[in-house]
Amino acid sequence: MINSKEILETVRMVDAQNLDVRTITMAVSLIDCISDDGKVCAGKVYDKISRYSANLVKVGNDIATEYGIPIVNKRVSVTPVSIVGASSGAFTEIAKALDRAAIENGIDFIGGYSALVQKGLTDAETRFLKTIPETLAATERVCSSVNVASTKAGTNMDAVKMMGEIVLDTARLTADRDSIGCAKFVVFANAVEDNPFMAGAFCGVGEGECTVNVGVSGPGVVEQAIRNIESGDAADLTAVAETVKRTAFKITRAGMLIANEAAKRLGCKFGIIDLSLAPTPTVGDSVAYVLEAMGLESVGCHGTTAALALLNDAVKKGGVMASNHVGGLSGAFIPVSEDLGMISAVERGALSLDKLEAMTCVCSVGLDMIAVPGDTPASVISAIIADECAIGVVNNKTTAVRVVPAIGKGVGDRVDFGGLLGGAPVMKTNAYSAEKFISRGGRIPAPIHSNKN
Amino acid sequence: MKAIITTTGKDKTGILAEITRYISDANCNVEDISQTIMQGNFVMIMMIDLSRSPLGFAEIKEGLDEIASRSELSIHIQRAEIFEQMHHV
Repeated sequence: MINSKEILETVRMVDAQNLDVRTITMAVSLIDCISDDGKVCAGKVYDKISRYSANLVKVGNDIATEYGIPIVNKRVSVTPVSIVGASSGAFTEIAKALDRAAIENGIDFIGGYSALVQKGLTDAETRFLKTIPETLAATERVCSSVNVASTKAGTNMDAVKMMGEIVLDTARLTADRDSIGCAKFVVFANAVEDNPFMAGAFCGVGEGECTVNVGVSGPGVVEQAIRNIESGDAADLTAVAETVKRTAFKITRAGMLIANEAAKRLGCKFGIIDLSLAPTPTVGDSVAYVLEAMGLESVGCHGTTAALALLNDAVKKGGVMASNHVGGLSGAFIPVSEDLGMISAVERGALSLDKLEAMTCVCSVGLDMIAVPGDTPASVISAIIADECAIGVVNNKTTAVRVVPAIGKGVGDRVDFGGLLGGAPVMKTNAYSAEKFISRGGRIPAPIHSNKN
Repeated sequence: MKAIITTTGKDKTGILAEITRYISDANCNVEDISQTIMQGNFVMIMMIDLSRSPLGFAEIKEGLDEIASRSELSIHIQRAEIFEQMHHV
């Protein structure tokens, strides 16, 4: 029998600590939509997405009502469009079909305007990458990602060079909306094929026909759990890790129930649970506050990387105990614009871009939702991406860069995207140039420890 | 289907009566109930079986939401499995 303490704990998690299922993401394979006729291909894509996702929003809402846990986003991820459209070259038409299907079915975001170019670029992929800025400006809900490095393949620096230009072009084309196009574009190292979170979700070629991946969040719940152990003498860090692990376990179990139920009702397979502490710009929903609850005066101070490493690891351990299929990114996200505590830390001068880079060595993804001055050269953005790739490749982890050059703005100004994307102060980048290094192109070889066969 | 109704709010007369009347009108069976006052707040937890109710889950929830806003209470109804999953291995 369930006891009242447990019932009230769950109710409090939702009511006061912002526990939610951040997203139910349906991963749909579009391999069978490939055609050398662009119109035919786009038509098939539209039909397939509409057919599979017709009930997604209703099922999400029904489950949220029955279990009393909000399901914030209903999303779709698809096979990388660089593959689906390679034969026809109709990348933009496919993007418009995706956007239309998303809008008509009430889907919040649709991810997969993507390419995997960690080792090299096909001619079709080169053409595809050039369409990204205009596609992001012309569509509302399409998200794009490019994987430019992996531990196995090393880093494709030709692609990294292009990424700096693509980010800047995207910023310029959406300058009238605080460069929001860049919030829908992420560059990866070691991208995962079953990630339910945007902007980086896509349905990998190794995935099945239609799969439900669920992203569960809850930084507020973890923060409160840590604060609750602070009675009398401060608990030591083993006790903190244990508390985070137990909390992550409970959250993941809730996610599992919802994921299985969603898969059953949608008639597709359950894929993975991604337990990521994903903040929102709401009070009490911040990863920075979790770190501060551990005893940091402000996130960004010395000790932040250690605290984040503890958090990320304990979250993964709790999640793995609770589900056989933990995947995606699972850990702690550290976006700036989406996290009130991170924003405050930047504003008070405690958190710099350099410290954020160090934190990405131990967080679950990378530099996320960071605004940089609008006049930042493309080579500097490429160099930021190259650094993140190095961290991901060498440490065998996923890293990513989602930066927003704020066109017409400089350090100290703000960008505001609204909603879950929040707003951010423009941060300072290093003034010295890596232009010559980036323009060399080529490939940075895979590290020695990638040779495991 | 079994569900847990959690009601919290300022203690006043008739809360229990109003909710149980609504539940029985909806043809749901009350299987377990516990009620306490914690720091002046009324806390009631009720387990019900909805399988014979002609109303859907969402409709029952709407009715409870109405009572909640009229009586300035917080009322949650959630399927029981969520608590089992989160707290029991």
